[in-house]
Formats: sequence, C-alpha cells, structure tokens
Amino acid sequence: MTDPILDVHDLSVSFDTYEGRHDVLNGVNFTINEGETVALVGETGCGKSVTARSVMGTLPRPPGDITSGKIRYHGDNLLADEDAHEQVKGDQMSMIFQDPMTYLSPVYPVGSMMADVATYSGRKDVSSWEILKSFLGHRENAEEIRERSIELLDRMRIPDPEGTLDRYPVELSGGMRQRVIIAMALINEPEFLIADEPTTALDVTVQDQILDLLRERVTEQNLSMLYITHNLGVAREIADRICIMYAGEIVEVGRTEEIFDAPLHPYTRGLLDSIPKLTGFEGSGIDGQIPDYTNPPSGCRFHPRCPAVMRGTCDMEPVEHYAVGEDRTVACHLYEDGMEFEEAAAIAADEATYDNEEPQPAEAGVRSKQ
Amino acid sequence: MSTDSSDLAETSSSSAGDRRPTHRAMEKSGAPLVSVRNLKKYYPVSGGVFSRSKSNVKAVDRVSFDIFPGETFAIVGESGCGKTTLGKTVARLYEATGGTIKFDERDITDVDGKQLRQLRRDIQVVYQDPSSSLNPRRRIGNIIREPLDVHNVGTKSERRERVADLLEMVDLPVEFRHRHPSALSGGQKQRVAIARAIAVEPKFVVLDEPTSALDVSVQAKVISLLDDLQDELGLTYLLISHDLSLVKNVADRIGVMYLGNFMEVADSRELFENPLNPYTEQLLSAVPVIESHERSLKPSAVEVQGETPDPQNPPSGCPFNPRCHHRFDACDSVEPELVEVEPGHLTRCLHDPGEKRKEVIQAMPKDVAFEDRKGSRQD
Amino acid sequence: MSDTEPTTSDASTSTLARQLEDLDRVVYRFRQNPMSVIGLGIILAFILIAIFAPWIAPYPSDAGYAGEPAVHYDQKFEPPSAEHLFGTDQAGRDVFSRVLFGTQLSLKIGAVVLAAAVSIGVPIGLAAGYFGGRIGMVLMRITDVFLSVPPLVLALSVSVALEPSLTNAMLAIGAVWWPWYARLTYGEVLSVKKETYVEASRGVGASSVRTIFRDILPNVLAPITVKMSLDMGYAILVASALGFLGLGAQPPTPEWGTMVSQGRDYLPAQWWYSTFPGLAIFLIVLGFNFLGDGLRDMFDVEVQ
Repeated sequence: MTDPILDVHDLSVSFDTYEGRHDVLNGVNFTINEGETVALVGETGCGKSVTARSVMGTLPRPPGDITSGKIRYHGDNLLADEDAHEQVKGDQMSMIFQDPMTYLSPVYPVGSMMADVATYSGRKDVSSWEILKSFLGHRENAEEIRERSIELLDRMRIPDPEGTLDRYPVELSGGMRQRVIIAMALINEPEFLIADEPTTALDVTVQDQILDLLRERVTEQNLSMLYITHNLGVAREIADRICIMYAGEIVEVGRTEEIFDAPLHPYTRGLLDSIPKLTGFEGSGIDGQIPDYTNPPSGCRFHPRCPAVMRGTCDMEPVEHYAVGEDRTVACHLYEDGMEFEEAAAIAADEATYDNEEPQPAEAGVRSKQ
Repeated sequence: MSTDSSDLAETSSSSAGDRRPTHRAMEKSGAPLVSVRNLKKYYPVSGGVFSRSKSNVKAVDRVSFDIFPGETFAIVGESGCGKTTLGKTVARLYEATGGTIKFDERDITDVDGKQLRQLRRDIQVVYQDPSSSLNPRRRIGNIIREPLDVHNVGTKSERRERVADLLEMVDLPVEFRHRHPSALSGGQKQRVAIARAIAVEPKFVVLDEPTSALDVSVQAKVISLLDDLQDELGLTYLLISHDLSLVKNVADRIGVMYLGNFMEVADSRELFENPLNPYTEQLLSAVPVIESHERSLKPSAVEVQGETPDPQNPPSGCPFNPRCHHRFDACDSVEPELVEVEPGHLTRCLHDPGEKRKEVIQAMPKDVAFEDRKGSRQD
Repeated sequence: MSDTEPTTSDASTSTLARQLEDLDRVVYRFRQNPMSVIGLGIILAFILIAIFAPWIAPYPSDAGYAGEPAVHYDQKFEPPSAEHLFGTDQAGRDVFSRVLFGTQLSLKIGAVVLAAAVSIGVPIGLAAGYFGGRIGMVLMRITDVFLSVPPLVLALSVSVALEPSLTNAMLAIGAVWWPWYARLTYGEVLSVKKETYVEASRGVGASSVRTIFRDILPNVLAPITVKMSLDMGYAILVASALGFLGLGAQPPTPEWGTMVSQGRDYLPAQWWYSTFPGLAIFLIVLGFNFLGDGLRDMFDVEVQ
C-alpha cells in the first residue's frame, strides 16, 4: 500500500479557559489514503471539529494549543512549518462548511466569489493593484474562470448555471447554496477535501441529493476527503472508513460496513443502538455524559459510562489502539492486540447479551436512588 | 426495553409494534380529544416598501385531523412545511386565520382571557431547543414551579414537594432545583422542559421536535422518558418531527405534511408498509440507513428531486408536482384533495398505479366538503 | 446513572458554594479586562471618599458641613501647601475639603438623574416593546420627539424655565435622559420577546405582567446596567456643565462644575482653584467609563 495522503499522529490539543486547561484532543491518530473518504463521527464536544481545524490550520491559538503530535501531508509534517501548511492549504486542500451563509458574502454575486477563490486562493503575493483591477472587472483570464465556474455549477446539477453566477446567495435555496459551496471548493482542483457537517442544516431529501453529488465528485476526481459528522447514517452513505470519536480520542476505526455490521467498542454499539431506525428502536441510549475535559477519567475515558466496564482495569490502565483483524482498530480493554476479527466479534456479542441479562446498577437510573 | 443489537433485526419489528398496544386500543373508542377542521394560518406579506398590495403565506391551509385520547399523532415534514405552525396553532399559541379547533368536544378556536388560561392547563408544549425555552436567569425549581404558581395549584409547600416529585419523574436529582439552566446539559434541560409541561397534569402535549437539538445517545433517553410518561399519565401527544425513523417508532398515526397541508395520513405501520403518496416515498427513500435491513424497508428506485419551493409562491395544481417522480399532465393544473383510499389511510395525489383513485378523484366535484369524507372514516 | 448525573461531584455542594463559584466566574470575566479593574478602583475610591468626607476633609466646615460654608478672607488664594493640599479659594476655603465633599454631590446627582431616567424610560420601553402595535408606536414616537432635541439644550431650557438650583438641574437632566433608556429597553425587549421561553411562559398561562417581570425584565437588565454605568459619568459631566453655566448648583455649594466656573475668573494665576475640581470630574467620568466597558465585556452585550 502506498503512503497515506494524510497521517494524523498522536495529535493533542488543549484549550485554556476559566475552568482550567481542557485536554480536548488526547493523542488522536488516523490516516487517509489517496482517493479515500474517511468520516470522523462523534457527538457534540467530542473534538471532531477541533481535529478538522488543526488539519486545516484554522485552530484559534490561543486559547487553543497543539501540545503534541504530527499532521503529515504526503509525508511532510505541517505542524513543523507554518509556511508549508499555508501553501498546502491553498494549493491542495479545500473546506466545505455546515452553514453556507457564514461562508458566502451576501453582497457579492456567486460568480464574483467563485472568481475570487479561483484567482487568489493560495497566493500570498497579490498586489493591491491587481485586487483593484479585479474589483473593477479587469480580471486576467476572466472568461476562462467563468467557463470553469459554469461547468462546475453544471456538474453540481444547478439549473441555469450561467444565471446562477449573477445571483446573490440570498436568492438561492439552502440546497443550492451548499452546491455552490462545493463547486467553490472544487474550483482550484484540490486533491483533499475537508467537509465539516455540510448537510446538517439541510432537509433529508436535500441531504440525500447533496451526498450523491459529493460522492460522485469524489469518485470522478479521485479526491481524498475527511468528512466530519455527528450523523452515523450520513457517514455510512459517504465514507469508505469511519473513525468513531469519543471525548477527544478515537475509539474505533474500521471499514464502514464492518463498523455498522459488527461494532466492537461499547460506545460505538451504544451510539448505533440509540438511533431510531426504520426496523425498530430500543431507546436505551448511553448513560451519563461526556466527561469534564479539565479532569478526564483515568484509564479509558469512556469507562464511567461503559456498560461493559471492568473495575480495576478500565478505570486504571490507559487504553491503547488494538489492531483487530484487518483494517480495524479498537481502543478497548475487552480486546487484545492482534486478535482475529471473529474472536473480537464474539466478545462483542457476548458483552451485549451480558448487558441484557444482568442490568448494571448504573442503568437503574436516578429514580432508584431516591 | 433494550435488546441485543445482533438479534435486533428479528425482534425489532414486533417490538416496535409492542410499544403501542395500550394507545392503539384506546384509539378506536370514543370521541377525539382534539379535532381540527379546515384550520388555516396565513401570514400577511407586504409586496415591498412602496407596494400596498398584500398577499398571504399560507403556512397552514385547510388542515383537518383528529387525535384520539392516549394516542401519539405525528406530523412529519421538511423545514418550511408548516408543521410547527400547525402544532402551535392547535396549542393556541398562534391565532388561527380560519377553521375550528375542538378540544374535549369544546370549540376552543376563539376562547380568550380566563378561559384561555384555564385551557393552558390542559394543553402544554415542549419546544425544540431546550436552551432557549428555559429562561437563563431563573432557577430550575422556579421554572418547573411556574405553571403551578400561575394556576394557583396547592399551597407553597405542596408546590415545593410537587417540584421535587416532578424532578424525580423526569429522572433528575432534586438538587437541580437550585441550578440555572446553563449548568445543565442539553438532555437535562429538555427533561426540565418536560417536567414543566407535565406539572399541571395536562391532557394533551404538543412535542415540537423534542429531540432534534440533542445528541443521539441522549435523544434515545428523552424519547423513552416521553413514552413512559405517556403511559403513566395517560397523555395524548402531538409529535412534530422531521425524522421518519423516529416517528415510525413512537407514533400511532402519522400525517405527512408538505407546503401547509397533509399529503398523506395513515396509521404508522400502514404508512411505512404501504406508502401511497410520492412525497412520502421520496422522504422515505432519503432516510439515511443505519442498519442494512433498513434498505429493504425503503421504496426502491425512487429518485429524490428538488427542494421545498418558496411558500410565498406555491406551485399550481398539486403542491408537490415539480418534484414528483409520478408526475403527469394534470398535476400542475388540478389540485388533488386528501381522500381516504383505504380505511384510515388518506392521500393527496392524482396519480394511482391502479388507476382507481384517479377516476375517483377526477369524478369528484372540487367543492365537496372535506368533512363529508372525513366523517365516513371515523365510522 | 443516566444523562442526568452531573459531570462533577458538585451535586452535593451547597447552594452557597455554587453561588460563590458563580461569583468567582463573574470576577474572572471582569478581570480579563484590566481597564475595568482600574475603573472599579476609581469608583470605589470616590464612593469611600463620599462616605467618609466629613472625617477625611481637614476643614469640613469650609465645604458647608453642618451649616453654611465658612469664610476665611485672611487665607484667600493660598497656593497648594501641606496645610491646604489643593490651595484655597477666593473666600479662603480649603479647596481640598470642598472637592472631597463635592464627591457626595456628584454621586448623588448621577444617582438621582439616572434613577429618574430609568424609572421613566424602562417602563415605557418595556410596555412599547412587549405590547407593540398601536401602544408601542405612540410611546416610541413620543420618545423620538424627545430624542430629536439636543439633550444639553433641552436641559438648559428646562433649568432656565425653572429656578436655577441643584434640584432643578437634576430634574432637567433626568427629563432629557429617559428617552435613551426607553429606546434601549424597547430594542432589547423586541429581541428577548422572540425567545422561546417567553412563548413558553405564555404557553403555561402566565399573565402579561408576570411574563414581563419574570421573563423579560431580568433578561434586559444587563445592557441597561452597562448603559447606566457609562451614563453615570456623563450625567455628572452635564450637571457640572450646568453648574459651570450658572444654571445648576449655586455657589458656595461645593459642586465641581460650579467650582470650575468660579475659578475660571482667577486663571491662570490661581490655577489650583479650577484645576483640582476639573481633575475630579475627569477622574470620575473616566472611572465610570472604564467600569461600564468592563461590565459590557462581562455581560457580553451591545449597547447603543
């Protein structure tokens, strides 16, 4: 296998606030291979956006602080060289956001914004004269950029692409805006995309269409993508591999279908069980809450909420990423490094039954306590 | 309630049905608790600064439905379809533009003053975003006690006790009464909002997307809490949601709403097993799949198209026609009515694979009152 | 344990401890801005001076403490010295003592003016914002009429129409000040009214009065407090201006503006007479401004 395009290694990020130092990311590891889409999935506050921002180099510092780790892009550590990071960001990466209206300016038509992105992105030596000229409508290769924009909008199945270039963002519907954003992200032909919850604000029918388009673009242009979402269903639609994140750590990594068919980590299992499905809904949820980052639990960060917790182990020993079978890692003491996948799946199934037969005191709820 | 995830597929469809037998049994008996007829809610929009002409956005347009005691009636639809407006109009938070709302066989469309305040005891609302539905400057105890104070329920010490009981009912520690909402997590805040809603023992609760602002692991707990409370207190729910999977699992009957009116109304199981309206089909086929078995429950070969149009300029004819995959010539000129095509199953569509409905609809004079058909359904 | 369990162990801690923690957090945010701490220091110092003036001032009787201000023509216009820190005025009175006592007056003026402005403006803004419609329109148009006249000019005419005195000056300033509070409150109410908790309050059957006082007023207080703090200095400044123009407090009242005005005739030779009261005005206005900025950061609000 060739080297990964992106290799995030042991990334730790802290934030300083009134409560003290929050260890928001704690040794995050993942890789993205060329042409691959990896989804980073987790609930509010798990650190998935902080990870994306660290990769994109837009983490506010302070209060944020990258305390350790490497972000290698084609083998070069971006954290070591800020200029290189800027360069890579401009030339090879693009980002798609959740709310297009925070990214699109309401006072410029779509076409002019696309042209600006095409002209200036990744350049540091733009003279004010050139900006002024562009602003007044004397842009070099304006025709070529316009052609390219129309083609991109057309590929995003925007009706009347030419007319859309002259419209303002407010004149477009939510789904159309998101298509414009994606077209804009693609205009400089990046090789790497970061998508931060791009469909969260959309209706399901629109989401479905956007995901189709995005998938189509990614395959056709052989893009690599880091897709951030809290929605497991969306992750399943778009990703080749999935990283499940909890409390600043990645707890399970695996191929999409495998994660869904045989979740190993108790958190992954809990998440999957919590979602109402067309086939049914158990309504069990996961007890407890995401921990306090100033004083995270010792051992495995998930142990206070874990239905399969082993006292004496999970609350004491820090957990490592165990490789289970092929292309699968899980950070849980239930498993051992190098275990066969079938064996691990059997353990997971066992644990699930065990929960059922003997409800943990933790599950009885506050009601019984009073 | 929790079952093994690996054998979920086998047990789930039956367990989903098992959640509701009590409500189901009650549904058929007796008069509806809430009965809405031809309800309209229009918002005026001015034509511009210099224009005097005014048009209306028909957020809710000629909607009729019944909700029976003890059941959960769900309204699903995408943003802008008017589902929240409908729910809040029924709860008398918004004034209806036309039509009638009956509650407990009493016309409540225009009650005001003291009678309206009295009515508020019976009808409560749980809002979507618990962070904004709780006053940040008040303590949890005061927030929950508010309805008791307003309606003068019991003595001071009785109210204090009641607040403690309510906190216990929603699985929150009693000490939380001293806290401000900002010290609570989203799920905890929603529990507080639920405690406030049930404080004065209402009969009917409008749940406006009660879980969509919450994380999934918390959503499940809030849903099962609502379910437990419904059984314990005999509540009737109007659930407003955009999430078909959720609605399928908790609702007894479902109305699918689009641009101000229902496209399809049916029993929960019937709607999913036998969706008749193309819009329902598209919604269903857009549901993200979590579990492989879900794929078999989605209509195959339905392509999702387009977006909800601007409610100010709704399409002529069938509101869904520009997006519809079964569209034919008549769709942009003839406006279909909501018709009962099978017992308890209503749909608004000109198209019918069996041609049966098309004939029925086209033969029907346009001004046939909706009540006539609706009445036959209840018999 | 469910999602109901608190993250930290503070469920067992007492309400008092939690309130202290809240306070701690407030102090933390306030201290993020060093200017606000300086402002608070200045204002606290002035308040202490106002309270203890009779004991701190070396010559309380010169400032009119217990009776008419004394006169000592034999000691007139002595420059600053150990005996008279800020020198003496044309009647031989100790300027230092008079400036100290002036603090009492200035704070009183500020407090009375703002109390008047707030007690007229806030209810009008609340009513206009909450009820809206015709009532709101009438109330806000009246407010606009008052806002369209320059405040100092209006205050001047009110003072002239009445007898020039400190009380009338305060009345005049209060009369021109309330529209700003009506405006601010109105805007805030409009935005708070959209919050779901206001709808929820109506939904449980609460009356309008209850909703206004329980749910709306507490949530509009922050910007009003910030504005009051910023305005305190300005109100004192306007009162001093009226005093300076002879329309406010009358000599020999130890009011700073009046003192600056009196001392003006003896500039530049007897510079101390005008300078020290002027410096006091400068400091107190500065202090309230810093404090107001700090409060604004703390509440994180926008003030018009």
